[in-house]
Amino acid sequence: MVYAFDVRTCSGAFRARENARNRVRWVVRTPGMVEKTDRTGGSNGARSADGRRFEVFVREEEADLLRHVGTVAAPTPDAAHEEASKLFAWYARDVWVCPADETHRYSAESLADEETSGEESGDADTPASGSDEPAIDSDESRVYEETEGTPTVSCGGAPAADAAGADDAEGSR
Amino acid sequence: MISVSKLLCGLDAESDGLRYDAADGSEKPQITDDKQERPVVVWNTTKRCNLYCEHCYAAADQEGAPNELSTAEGKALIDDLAEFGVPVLLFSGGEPLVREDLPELVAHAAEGGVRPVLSTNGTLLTRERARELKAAGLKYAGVSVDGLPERNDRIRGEEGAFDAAVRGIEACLDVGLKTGLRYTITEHNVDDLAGVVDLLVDVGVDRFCFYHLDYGGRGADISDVDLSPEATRKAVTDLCDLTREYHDAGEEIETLLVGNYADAGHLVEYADREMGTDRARLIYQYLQRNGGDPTGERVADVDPVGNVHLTQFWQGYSPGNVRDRSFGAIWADESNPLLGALREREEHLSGKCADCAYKNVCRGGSRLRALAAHDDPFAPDPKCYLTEAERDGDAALSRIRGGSAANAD
Repeated sequence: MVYAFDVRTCSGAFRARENARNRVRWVVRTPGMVEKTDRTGGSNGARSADGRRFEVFVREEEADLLRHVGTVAAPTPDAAHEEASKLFAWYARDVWVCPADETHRYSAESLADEETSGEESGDADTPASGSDEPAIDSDESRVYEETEGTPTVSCGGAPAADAAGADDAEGSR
Repeated sequence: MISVSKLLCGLDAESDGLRYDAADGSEKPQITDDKQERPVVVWNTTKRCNLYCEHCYAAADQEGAPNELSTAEGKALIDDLAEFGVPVLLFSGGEPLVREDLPELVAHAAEGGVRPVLSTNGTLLTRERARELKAAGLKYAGVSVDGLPERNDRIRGEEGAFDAAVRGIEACLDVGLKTGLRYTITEHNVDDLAGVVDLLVDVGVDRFCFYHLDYGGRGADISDVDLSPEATRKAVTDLCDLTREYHDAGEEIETLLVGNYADAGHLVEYADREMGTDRARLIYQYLQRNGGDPTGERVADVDPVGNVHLTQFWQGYSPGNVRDRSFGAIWADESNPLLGALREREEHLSGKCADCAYKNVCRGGSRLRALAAHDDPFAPDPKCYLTEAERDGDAALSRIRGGSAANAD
């Protein structure tokens, strides 16, 4: 008898993370019956909000495995090594860096998996203001159109009527 | 975060339990009755912003980052944070109000038991949006203003930003949403500090949060206009005086300091000098409970694409991404050598921080500034402004430890 993770997809409308966690549960199996992990590559895509990032791996002693310790923002591999060295120089014998955007990730879990993202976003199928269009594209963050492009205070600030109301309320403003 | 008004004037606040393990002594409804076990999380919901501030740690601009967390991912993140026991989620940016789904995300946090609060430049806050956010469960909106109109607009890169932010503050006050000021102090605006407080008190604001410059994002590019240690000492002393003057006049404003835990030692010294050793001893005890610089412990950040950071200012390094592992799994993973070392940093601090008498209430100050200045996250914080006598424990601490209640430690 061995213990193994069963990561088969199960059905049911659980919340995304609960759902993903519940799919990983301990089951008792006989030798040779361990099922393969079902992974997807859905968590790929840009991994930096500010320039390039590099995944960092360090090894303390020669006999140790490389350990993933996170990412650093840097424009080049050498700069990434320099940044990582500042953080881990006191610790690591080896430092490896790998462009985060060129790392292909396959996982049995995702932050909000596709099957539940619509449900999870609450009302992806609910029309917005009578429109027939879905209210939400759950694959993207949603921003106001008027703040896209070249937004300014004058176009984004409180409307004149609102400002005037505030002026009236304050008196001195 | 150090509450000057709490420590010097005894002002009750709803964060007393969270910050000082002092819920029992407060008459205000508390965020939590328990001392903080999990971090307050800042979520930079987008990199997009309608302003371009010179000190922005997130280096926000008009373009959002590619692959920002979607609504569904944001809600899943909030579920993770709730499950992990995060007490407060600060929606930040960029400018979070450019996200159309902000009320939905705020409501999700509130329903999940995570207190939702907002950091905004205020320029997009109308009454309608403030009302919508309040209805969604938002508990507080911190609005950034960095000087009187001329200086603020220059720092924030947009003429009219000051007036728009004040209109945003007024919109919050009009609909009953608690609001306060956020102000990052540099050479460019230190002279406006008292004037901004005076002006906004007249508007109706009663909470003022002052940030020391940290060297992240565009903040690193303007470290040359950071206050000198002497000027920082004077600015903090002036803020202490200002707070006491307001309280003496019956205006119970709340004033807080963020980003430089030398302030902890300075407040003890200030109180000993201006208010007596008994008050200084009490403050010292509160600060011991507060726990010093929170990097990697009591504060965390998630950036627009899901990278977790050790504070909101330290965007250059991430121990993991919430698209790969839950926030709790990343944060609790002490096999990460940097996270582990930060959590027992007293053993790693070097230079003047290593044997400072205030080490237990400061914990070395900003590790990010140390990294920026010395290429070493455990080197001294270059912004420590305590004197050698204060660091040696020859000033207030010698009296606190030598007094009748000598067991201040």
